[in-house]
Amino acid sequence: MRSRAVDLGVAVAALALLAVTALGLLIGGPAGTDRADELAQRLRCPVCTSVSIAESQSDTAVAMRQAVAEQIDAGRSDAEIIDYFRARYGDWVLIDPPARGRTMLVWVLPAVAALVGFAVVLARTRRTALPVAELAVDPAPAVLEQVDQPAPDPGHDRSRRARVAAYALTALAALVAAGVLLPRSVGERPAGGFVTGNEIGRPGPGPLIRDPAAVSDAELEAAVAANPGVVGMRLALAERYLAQGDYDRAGQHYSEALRREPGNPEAQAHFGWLLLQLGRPVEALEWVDRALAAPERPPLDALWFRANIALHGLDDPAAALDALERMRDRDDLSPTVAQQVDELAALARQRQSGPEQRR
Amino acid sequence: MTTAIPAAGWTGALLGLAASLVLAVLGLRAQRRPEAVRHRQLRVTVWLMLGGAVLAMLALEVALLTDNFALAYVAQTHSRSSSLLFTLTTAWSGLGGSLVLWALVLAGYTAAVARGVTSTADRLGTGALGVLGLVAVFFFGLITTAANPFEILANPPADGPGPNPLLRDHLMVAFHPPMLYLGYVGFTVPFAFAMSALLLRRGGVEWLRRTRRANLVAWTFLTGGLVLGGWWSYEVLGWGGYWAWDPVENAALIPWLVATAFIHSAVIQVRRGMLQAWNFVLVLATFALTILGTFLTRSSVVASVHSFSQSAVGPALLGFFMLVLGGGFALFALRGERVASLSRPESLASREGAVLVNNLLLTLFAFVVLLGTVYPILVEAFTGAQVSIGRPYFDRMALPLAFALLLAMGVGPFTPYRRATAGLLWSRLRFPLLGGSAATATLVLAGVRSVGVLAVAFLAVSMAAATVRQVLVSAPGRRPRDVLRLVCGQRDYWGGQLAHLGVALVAVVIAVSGALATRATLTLDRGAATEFAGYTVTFERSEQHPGPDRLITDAHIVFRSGGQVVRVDEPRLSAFAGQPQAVGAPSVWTTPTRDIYVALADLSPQRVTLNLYRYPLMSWLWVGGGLVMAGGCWALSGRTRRSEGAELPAAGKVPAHA
Repeated sequence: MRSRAVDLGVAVAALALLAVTALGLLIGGPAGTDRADELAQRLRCPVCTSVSIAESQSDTAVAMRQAVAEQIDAGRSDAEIIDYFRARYGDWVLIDPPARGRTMLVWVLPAVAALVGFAVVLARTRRTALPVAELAVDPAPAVLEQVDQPAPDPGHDRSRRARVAAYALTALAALVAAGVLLPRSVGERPAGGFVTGNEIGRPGPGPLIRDPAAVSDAELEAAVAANPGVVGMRLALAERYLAQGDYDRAGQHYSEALRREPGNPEAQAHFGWLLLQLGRPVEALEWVDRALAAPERPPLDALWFRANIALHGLDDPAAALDALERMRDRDDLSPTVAQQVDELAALARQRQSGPEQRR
Repeated sequence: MTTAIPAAGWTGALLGLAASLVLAVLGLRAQRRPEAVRHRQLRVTVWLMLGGAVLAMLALEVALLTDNFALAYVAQTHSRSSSLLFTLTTAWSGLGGSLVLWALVLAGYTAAVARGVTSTADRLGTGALGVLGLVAVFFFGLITTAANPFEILANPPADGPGPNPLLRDHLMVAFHPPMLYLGYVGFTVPFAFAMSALLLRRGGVEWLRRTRRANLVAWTFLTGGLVLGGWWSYEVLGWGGYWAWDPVENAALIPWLVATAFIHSAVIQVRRGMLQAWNFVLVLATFALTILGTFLTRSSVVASVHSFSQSAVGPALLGFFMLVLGGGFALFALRGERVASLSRPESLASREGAVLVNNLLLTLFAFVVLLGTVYPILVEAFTGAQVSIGRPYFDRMALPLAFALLLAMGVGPFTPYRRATAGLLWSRLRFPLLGGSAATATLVLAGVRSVGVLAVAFLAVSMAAATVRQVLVSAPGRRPRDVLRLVCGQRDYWGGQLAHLGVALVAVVIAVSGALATRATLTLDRGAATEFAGYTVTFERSEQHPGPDRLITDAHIVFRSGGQVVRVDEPRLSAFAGQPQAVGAPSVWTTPTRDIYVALADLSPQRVTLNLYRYPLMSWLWVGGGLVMAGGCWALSGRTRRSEGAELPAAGKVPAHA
């Protein structure tokens, strides 16, 4: 009777204390989180080795952190900020792998493994195979020895052979996969880089906090050279050159990007844009149309380029209006871009209505 | 004269290679036909192998100490100006030398195993020696071919660049790598015994009993290696943390997780005869994962602070890994039926059920870490695209697993074997739970609002209280002497509990230092002051101190409290001759309640940029790690219960020692 009372008392006291805890949490609210730091931890430093920009002291990381802070101040959402960096550096910049595309499996496999594991554990505890062995008072080694070596029977043998075959096949497949595919990725790694953020030791430290866009071209060039396979970053660099009017370098990077990923719509579209700048609108249209023919939803850029090429390069306002119409139908159009689309559409209509006057 | 030392090294390596070859042949032969090999032959071979490894290591050290730059390894990793300590540690600061250390440790473990093999009639033991010989053949083979540190240069340079700057700036380089190797290599012993048992078609617990010591030693050292690695990272690298989920850190953590699972499930097999086949899987996996980890470290497949350089060692290690995995599991598949245990846990609510859950969680944890580590490599190999998997992924995955493990740790050790009723569990855990809830309530009232901290505190305090309760209930009396007698009696159990307490402490520190940390990046002109964590922080001046092999530039950062100087921190930058990269070293001000961590981000004589961190309770992390190690040592210090004397001579088993 007394122990029942103690039980009850302890239970009530523990629950009361936990209630105090819960109440405290509810009233106090969860501790505020540092959004900038959280975002910074999810972005990879482009010039370091596998650390986020939150941990690196490299100039690039500092500039990127600054960019994150500014965008937060500008009221952008986390997703928008992440997308901003993705557009510039590619998926590679996400050190926090998204649960889609190539990195989907990283999230799915552990869940599957956990489910299978729990299923196996439950199955093993429910099936009680040998009650006799279990009831042995003390599992003395002698008992174990008997249990360990069951007499082989023919049915067992067949299933064993099947299992051996399965094992062997799996092992063989794994061997081939690993042996053939892994060495390819061994040789081509950039050397150097520190996990430490110790890059400050370089001679002549520059100003520390810089304009966010001012990851210098040379720096980005180095990062691209160090990670030749990261096409998104290369495209960002090429776009800079394009904006600066350095068509030679932009062209080099676009060709390299297209060599690596011939079907990349963004590269195709921008290459087309470059060709327009070089005064080759017919080819330009070809490239942009390739980008638009891609099975996935075409990038807005490509449509914008097409409209411009049609209007300015080929003097075909109807085609331009068509492309602009498609842009207007998109739901991912930001107000600023929408305004630009309207302006260009107005220009196109003007030309369409009065081509004679203009000539 | 300059060639005598390299020649000695060569001789040692070749001797080791030859002896390990002979040992592999003799050992495996002795297992098949015990009468065909004499015990003496085995012993001499093992001693020759150990001698070869010692000779190679000594030659390397002597070459380093005598500045013998004719040796390629010395020319690449040594400089005349290195101090004595860092000259000695240079022996494992490069690829070739670290493999020599590996071989030496392996030879040492082999010699220890050989001491336990008292006659060739001990077929399990001789077979294990044979497998150890095979593994040694691989490593001595690497030393003599792909990663030969004893190559002689025709035109030796007058001086070398010295080791990587990070490897000559902190005392820890003398401890962290050797400890890690003692851990890593130690897992070869359980592997060898498991293989030997499979070759003999003999399940049972003999191989488990005989590898218990080696396994615990290896596990304890690996634990120490991990903790020291974290400490080193914290004290030296200056990024403000201790664990970055760097691929190579992961490579050391994965075998640790699997080995931890094995330690637990081995107990269940010895006590209850369950999980036999599973134990084979765990041991095989642990060893294979150490090789995989070495491959990741040494082959530059992953870019990391730990990778030395690109070399032919990578493919060789990959091949060996696949051989171990393929060979080991093929053997297991062929013989698995013979060693499968037929009894199963009656209920999940029992000690064996809890261990089953623990094993599931630990292997799942290992799987997740492995997946995150190799996934980018596999994606790149298959598609050529580069993806990143970093800290946020691992943190998010580790969190639920770590909580579940803490929970299992809080319940499992206090659950009886076979079957536990809810009433029994409640009576054992009610007061601990009360203690845990009292702790969280206190913390909330004290103003802590972090859910993670509260949850961890609840679990950790409950677990500690349950341990104390267990001590008080099972001790013969309440006097300290009685408690001591209890704790000295069942050393594996109480060693385990000590380790659990250490893990709980580590969990609390990780949660607290993560959630309640304060960070700031400050730029200060000389003489300017600012506030941080209740102190007035002033940049006083910057000084340069030339050393024999380096130029140290430090910043004097003065902390004042109420006008009084309470601390001068001197974070510094060391620039080494012949090395392009300077190494920053933070300054850490440690007290029991918090660390204040001062790292340089930028330094000029008139202006400094600092990263300042305040981590509550940080220093207890190392204490917790030490407790885990101490738990391992405590379990080791006991005599093995049911040791040789209790082993029943059953049919087909070893006759009594000759």
